[in-house]
Amino acid sequence: MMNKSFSNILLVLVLMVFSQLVAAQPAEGEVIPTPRMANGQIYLGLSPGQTGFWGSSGRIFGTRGRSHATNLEEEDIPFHPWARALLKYRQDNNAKDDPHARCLPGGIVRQIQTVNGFQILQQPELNRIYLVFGGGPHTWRVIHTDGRPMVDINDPDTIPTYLGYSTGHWEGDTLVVETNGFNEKTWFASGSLPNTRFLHLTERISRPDFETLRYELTVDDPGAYSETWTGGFDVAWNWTGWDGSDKAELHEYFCQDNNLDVMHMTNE
Amino acid sequence: MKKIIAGMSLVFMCSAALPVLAHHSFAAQYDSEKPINLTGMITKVEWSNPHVYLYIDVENDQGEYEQWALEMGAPAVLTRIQGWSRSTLQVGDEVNVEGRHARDGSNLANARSVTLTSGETLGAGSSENITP
Amino acid sequence: MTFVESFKKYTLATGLMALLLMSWSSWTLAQEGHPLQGTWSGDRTSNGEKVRILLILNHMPDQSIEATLIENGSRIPVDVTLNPEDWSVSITVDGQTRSGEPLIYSANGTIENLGAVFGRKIVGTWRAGRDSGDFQVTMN
Repeated sequence: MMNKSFSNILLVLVLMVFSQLVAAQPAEGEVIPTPRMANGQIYLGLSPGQTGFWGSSGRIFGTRGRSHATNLEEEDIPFHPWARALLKYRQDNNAKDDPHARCLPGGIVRQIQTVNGFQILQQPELNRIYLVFGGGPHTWRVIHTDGRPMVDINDPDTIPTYLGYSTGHWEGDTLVVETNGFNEKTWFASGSLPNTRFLHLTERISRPDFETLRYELTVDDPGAYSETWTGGFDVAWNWTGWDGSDKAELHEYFCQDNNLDVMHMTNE
Repeated sequence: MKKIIAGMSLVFMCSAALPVLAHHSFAAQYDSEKPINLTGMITKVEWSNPHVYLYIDVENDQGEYEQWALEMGAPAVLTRIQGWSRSTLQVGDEVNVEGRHARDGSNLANARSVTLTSGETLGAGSSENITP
Repeated sequence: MTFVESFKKYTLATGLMALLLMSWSSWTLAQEGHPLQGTWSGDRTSNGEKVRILLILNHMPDQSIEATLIENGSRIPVDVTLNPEDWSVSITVDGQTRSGEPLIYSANGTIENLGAVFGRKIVGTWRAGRDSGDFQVTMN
């Protein structure tokens, strides 16, 4: 009886220490493997005993930040003439008309790229994956993994939304997400890229190691682009809070609170 | 005990749902003592949350056209309770709207009903009688 | 799931939804897709009088623009083209009013306030033979 109690206590202590070791920031050069659930599915976000959240990323074109080296340069993106001209207009005007600066939700790519990080919460028992965003207007996004089809954008009862309608499935360790049904009230990705309501995005999200989220995107928008094109970036895991503390949680941030910048934005 | 918990859950769920239906005070924006009746051509329909907005051009006494914004209920309320679909209102249609004028006197009103070109009158999902 | 767990879960979801809805009500929305997509209201000046017009423009994936003009209660399909090099717009009206009278004119203008939340306009003139006048519509 005493031996059994002592064994149980010892087991708990070992597990506590082990969980802290799992959550600890790795040493330089050390690579922590991708965390997995008991059924083998990978965790795209938090897993038991961890702290932290997804942080800095890159763009789907060019090589800024953690953008992929295979990305198209801006001049090679297959814009329709009006879309290229609109991009130039936005750039020439310092992106002063950016809806995201007015605390409207960015598109699904823009939200991932927005400062203040995000979490991915998987609910396989409910066939849902949530992305919770720390920046912007504090939005969240749901990806359904129950096999539902994409929405029909020509159905008059389909309401176009900022974040569209996402349906995802696993291909091995890669989550493939199809999204359509977007409205035309946002700039869908960083870099002032235009889109129309015909936008259809295919995201391939994987986690090659604990600290890296790999994001690959296919842009299919015949309204704005003459061809389908691809691009992507990696996202880095954040071990510390934005204030430098060890308690790495998404902190409270509401874009709408004291948003004084927008009234001072100018193209001069 | 289970019934008590279930009942309490229902009460809490209903109270938690109220902010979705009435996120701001009707009385702070509109005047129930100022009914308004407008006829005009639809120039835009914003079919989105939290309110569907209908914009119509109304001819004033000087023969000029003014744009009016009419606040309606949320799309879910209109489609599930009032019998609308997203295609019920078409740009260019002439409609008559009965509602309550904005307190600040602007060209804004909370719509109580909309009479379509067909003559059919549908409720507009007004938030007038919902306590925030 | 216990009562406490379900209560917490539902409250969180509802609270997030309420916050999202409030954020939508905090700012008016601009049209960020094709610059002409949407409805435009305004008038053209004819013989010193303003004629009210409504343009319904629908940009399609093949880059064409489905366009309808509503003038004096008449709905007329029209041709609309955009030159993105200088944001100029050409409108060709060649149809009939609902009473059977021909309605023929062309309008040329330029988009102003392209990126603005309020007040994106097409400002120019219309012409039919020797008749002409101002033409201005504002995006709704």
